[in-house]
Amino acid sequence: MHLPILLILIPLFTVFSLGLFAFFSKKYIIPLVFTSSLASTAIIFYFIFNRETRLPFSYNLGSWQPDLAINILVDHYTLVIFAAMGLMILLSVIYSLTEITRNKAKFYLLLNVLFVGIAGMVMTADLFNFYVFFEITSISSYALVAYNDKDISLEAAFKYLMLGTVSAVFLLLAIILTYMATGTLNMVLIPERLGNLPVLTRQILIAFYLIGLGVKFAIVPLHTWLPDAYVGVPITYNVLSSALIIKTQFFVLMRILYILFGLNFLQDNMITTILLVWGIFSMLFGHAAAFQQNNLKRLLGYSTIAQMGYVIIAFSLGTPAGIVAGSFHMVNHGIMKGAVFFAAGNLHKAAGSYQLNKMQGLADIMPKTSLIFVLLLLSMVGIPPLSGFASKWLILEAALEAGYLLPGFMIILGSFLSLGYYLSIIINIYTGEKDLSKKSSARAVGLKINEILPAAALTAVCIILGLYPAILTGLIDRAPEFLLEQLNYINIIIGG
Amino acid sequence: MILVFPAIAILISMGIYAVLTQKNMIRIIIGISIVESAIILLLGAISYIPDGVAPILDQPYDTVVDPLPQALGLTAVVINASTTAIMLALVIKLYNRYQTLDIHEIRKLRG
Amino acid sequence: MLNPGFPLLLAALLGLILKARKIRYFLTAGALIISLILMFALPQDKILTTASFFDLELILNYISLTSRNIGLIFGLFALLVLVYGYSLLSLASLNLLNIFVGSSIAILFVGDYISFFFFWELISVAAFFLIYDKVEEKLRYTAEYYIIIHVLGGLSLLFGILLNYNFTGEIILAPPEAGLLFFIFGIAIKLGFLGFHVWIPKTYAAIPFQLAVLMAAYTSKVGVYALYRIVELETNIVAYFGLLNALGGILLAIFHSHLRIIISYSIISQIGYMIVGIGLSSQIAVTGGLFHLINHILYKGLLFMMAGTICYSTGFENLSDLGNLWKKTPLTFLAGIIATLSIAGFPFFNGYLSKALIKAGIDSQLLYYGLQLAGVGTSLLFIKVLYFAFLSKNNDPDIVKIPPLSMKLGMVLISAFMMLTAWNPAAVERLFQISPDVAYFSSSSILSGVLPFITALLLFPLLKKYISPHPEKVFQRDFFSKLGYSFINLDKKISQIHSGDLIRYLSWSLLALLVLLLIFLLAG
Repeated sequence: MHLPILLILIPLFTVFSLGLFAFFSKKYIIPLVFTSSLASTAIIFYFIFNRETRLPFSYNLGSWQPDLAINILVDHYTLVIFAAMGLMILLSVIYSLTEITRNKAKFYLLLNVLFVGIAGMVMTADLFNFYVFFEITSISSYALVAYNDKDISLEAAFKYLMLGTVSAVFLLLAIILTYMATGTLNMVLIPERLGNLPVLTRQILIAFYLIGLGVKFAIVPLHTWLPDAYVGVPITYNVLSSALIIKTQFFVLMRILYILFGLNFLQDNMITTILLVWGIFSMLFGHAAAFQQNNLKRLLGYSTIAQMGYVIIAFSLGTPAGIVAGSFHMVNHGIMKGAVFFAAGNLHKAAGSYQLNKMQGLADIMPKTSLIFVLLLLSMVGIPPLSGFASKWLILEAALEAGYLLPGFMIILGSFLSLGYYLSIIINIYTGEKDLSKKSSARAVGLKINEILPAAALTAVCIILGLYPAILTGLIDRAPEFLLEQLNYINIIIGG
Repeated sequence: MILVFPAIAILISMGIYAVLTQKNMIRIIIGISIVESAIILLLGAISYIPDGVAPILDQPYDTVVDPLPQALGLTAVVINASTTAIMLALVIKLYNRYQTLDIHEIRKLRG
Repeated sequence: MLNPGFPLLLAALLGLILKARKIRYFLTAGALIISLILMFALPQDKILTTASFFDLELILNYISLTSRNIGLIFGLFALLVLVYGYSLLSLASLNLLNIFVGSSIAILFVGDYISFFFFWELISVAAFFLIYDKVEEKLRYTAEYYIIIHVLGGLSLLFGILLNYNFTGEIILAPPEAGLLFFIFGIAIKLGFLGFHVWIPKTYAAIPFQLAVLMAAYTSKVGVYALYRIVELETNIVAYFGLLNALGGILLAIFHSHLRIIISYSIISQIGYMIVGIGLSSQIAVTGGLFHLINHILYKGLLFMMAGTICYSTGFENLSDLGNLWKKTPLTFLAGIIATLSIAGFPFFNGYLSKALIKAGIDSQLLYYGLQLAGVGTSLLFIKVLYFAFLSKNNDPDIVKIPPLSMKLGMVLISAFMMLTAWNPAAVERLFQISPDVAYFSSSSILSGVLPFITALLLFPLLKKYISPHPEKVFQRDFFSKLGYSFINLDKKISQIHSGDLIRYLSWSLLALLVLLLIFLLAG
C-alpha cells in the first residue's frame, strides 16, 4: 500500500504540473488543484475511517531495511493533524477559488508546496527529512505571507523570514547535535542512544528544539511575527496557518520531545513544568494583547497565540487525558478559527476593511454571516453547547486530574479575558445606524456559494462537535499510546 | 581539527552580534549567512574522519568519512541559498516601498 | 419526556422561520401553556430523560416539588408579561424571550451540573441579546456589562463543577464536596449578593421597561434556586449573610429617586429575605424562603409594571419629575398600593404569608429583629415612591400617552392573582406539601406584620426631607468597570511593547533561548 507517500507526492506533482500548465493553458489550473486536494483528502479519510485495521502503518522508502530506510509513518497520533488536514485542505482551496484573482498559478504552486511540507512533517520518522520538510513549509509560508504584495505584507514576510531563519538555525543545530550524540537521525533509533547522555546535554538539546520550533508555533515571546503576518495575507493563508501550520509545528515538537526524550526524562527534569508555565504565560499574554487590537485579523492572530497556550498547557500535563484534550483542542481550534477567518473574509467583502470600527453595521447587511460569527466567537469563549466548551472541559478536567489546580484556574481566567475582546467584535458588527435611511443597502454584496460553504460547513461541524464531542475523541483517543510510550512508536517500524 | 569547534562558536557569535547590532538590512542578512555558514562548517567537521575517503562503494576502502552529515550539509546549503534569495528579494521590494534599508524604520506593523 | 423548558426553546427555533409578530406571540403563549401542563403531568422525582456528554450521563428532566413550584410561577409570570407587553414586545424580543424564559425554566428541571451550567450560560447569552440594541449605545454598554459579569460567575461555577467532578467523579446536581467557594461566587453574582449586585440596578434601570418587567423575575431567582440546590452548610451563616443583604439593599435604595433603580435595589433586599429562609435549617423557613421567591416575582413584577406604566404615560421615571398622579392614573395608583402593601408584608396581602413562614422558622432574635427592620425600610421605601409619584404636589406632569388596554389588563390580572393567593394559606401548604403548625392569622403574627408598615408610616414625615428625590444619572462607573478600565490600561502597555522593531523581536527570541539554557545550567 503506497497511500502515505502519495499524500506527499500528489501535491508535489501538482506543483510541477502547475508550472507547466501556467505556460500552456491556464484554464486547467483550478481543476488540477481541485482534483489533487480532493485526492489528498480522500487518502486522509481513508486512513481516518480504516484506523482500526490499517493503523499504525509504516512505509519504507526504497524498501531498505527499516533502520536504514527513510520511514514514513502513520499512527493514531498522526490522525490528530490528519483530522485537521481532512477538513482544511479542501475547504481552503474551495474558498481561495474566488479570493485569488491574480497570479493563480503561483499561489496554488506555493499552496501545494505547503501541503507537501505539512504532510511530510507529520508523517516522517527521520530528523533529516523532518528538517527538509520543515524548511519547505517555512519557505512556502514566507512566500505566501508576501503574496499580496502590499507594504505590510512584505514587511511582515521579511520579519517572519528573519525570525524563522534564526530559529531554523537553532533547529538545525539541535539536529546536528543529536546526530553527534547518537550517530543516527532515525527517530526510532535515537531514543535508546540518547538515554545514555548526561542530563544537561539532553536539556540543552531540548532548549534548541524548543526555540527552533517555538517561533513557528508562536509561543510568547517568539510570537511577534504572527499578528504581523496575519494582517496582510489572503484569508486562505490565515486559515491554513492557524488551523494547520502552527499546529503541525507544535505536533512535531511534541513528538520529538516525547518520543526522543521520553516522558520520564521530561517530568524529572522540569521540562514539562517549564512548558506548562510557559503555556500559561503565552495564553494570558495573547489574551491581554488581543484586547487592544482594532484590526480584526490582528486580533484573531493574538487569539490564536492564546489558544495555542491552551494546547501547550494540555500537552505539557504529560497524562493521556492531557494529550487527548490538547489534541482535541488543536483540531477544534482549527475548525473554529478557520470558520471565523472564512466568515471574517466574507464580512470584509461588505466592509472593505478589517478595521473593527469600519465593520460597524454589518449585521444589517449580512445577517447570516454575522450570526455565524457570533456563534463561533461564543464557542471560542467556551459557552456550551458549542464545541469550544467540549475542549475547555477536556483540558480543565485533564489539568485538575493531574493535580494542577492553578493552571486550571488560569484557563478559566483566560476564557474570561477572551470574552472581553470577542464581545468588542460582536458589538462592533452589531452596531447599526441611528438613521434608517442611511442604512445603505448598496453595500450589500452577493456571496458566491464557494465563499459561504466553508464557513457554514465548519460552523456546522463546530455545533455537531459541541453536541457529540465523542466523534472527535473517538478518533484521537489512542493518540497518547503512540506519544507517551516510546516503545509503541519504535515497534511500529522495528517490529516488536 | 581541534580549533574548528571554537572557530564555529566564534563565527556563530559574530553572526548573531551582527544581526543584533546592524541597522542595514543587507548587513543583517550577511550576519545570518555567517551563522548559517558556521553551522554548515560544523556539519563538515563532524563528518570528518582522519584518512577517510569518500564512501563510493565501487572501490575497496579502509575508512570512509561519514556521508550523512555531508548530505545534510548539502541540503542545508541549498536551503540557505534559497532563504537568502527570498530575503534579498524582499529587501529589494521593501526598499522600493519604504525608500530605506534601515530596519528600524520599517515598522508599519506594531501594537 | 420533554423537559418543561424545551417547548419554549423549540418555539424559539420555530420562530426563526415564522416572521409574523402575531404568530410568534401566540407560539410563545402556546409553548408556555404546554410547558405548564408538562410540569403538572409529568411524574415527580423520577429521571425522565437522559443524554450523554463524553461518558457522563446528563439528566435532562427530573421534576422535584420545589422545581415544579418555581417552574409554575416562572411560566405563569411569563404569561402575565405576555399580556402586559402585548403591544410592546418586538418581534426579535419575543424570540429571545422564548430562549430566556425557556432556559430559566429548563434549568429548574435538570439533574446534573453540565446541563445546569449549559442553561446557566444560555440565560446570560439570551439576556445579553434581549438587552442589546443596535442603535442605543447605552444599551450596548449595559449588555456588555451584564454578560461579562455573568460569564465571570458562570466560569467560576464551571471551575467549581470541575473541582467537584474531579473530587467525586460525579456530576449529579447535589451539594458539592469540593470547590464550594467557586460555586458560591458564581451564585452570588447571579443572585446579586451585596457587592456583586451592581448589575441589577444598572441593567433594570436602563433597558426598556417591558423587558425589565420580564427579566427581573428570572435571573436572580435562578440564583436563589441554585443557592437552594447547591449550598448546604452545617451552620446558619448563610442566613446572616441574607440579613446583611436585606438591610444593605434598603440602605442602597433609600437615597435614590429613579423609580426602577429603587425597585432594583429592593430586589437585592428581597433576595436577602429568601437567603435568610433558605439558609436556615428548619423546613418551615426554607419553604418560606421559596414561597417568598414566588411572591416576590409577583409583586416585583407588579411594581415594575407600575413603573413601566408611569414611564409610558408620562415619559418620566425619576421621582423628582413626578407627582400628583393619583387622579390621572387611578388604576396604576391602586396597583402601586397593592404592590407596596405586599412587599411590606402587610397582613392579607401577598408577601405576608411567606414572611410569616420565614419568621416562624427563625430561631434567633437577631435575625427576627433584623428582618423586621428590613421590613420597616422596605415599607418606608415604597411609601416614598407612592408619596412622591402619586400624592406630592411638587410636580404635575401631563399624560402624554394613554397606556393600552393590555398593560392595564396585565396589572389587573397580576393584582387579582396576588390577592387570591394571599388569603389562602391552605393552598400554599398543599403546593409545598407541608403542614407546619403556623397560625398565620393569629393576633400576634398579624401584629408583627402590621408593625413595620405602621412604623414606616409614622417615620416617613420625619425622614421625608432626607430622602426626598433628586435628579440622577443612570450610568455611573462602579468598582467593576473601574477594574476593567485599569486592566485595559495595563493591556495597552502590553500591546505597545510590540514596537514593530525586528531587532527587538530577534533579541526576545535569543533571550528566551538564553533563559532556557540558564535555567537548565543553574538547576542542573
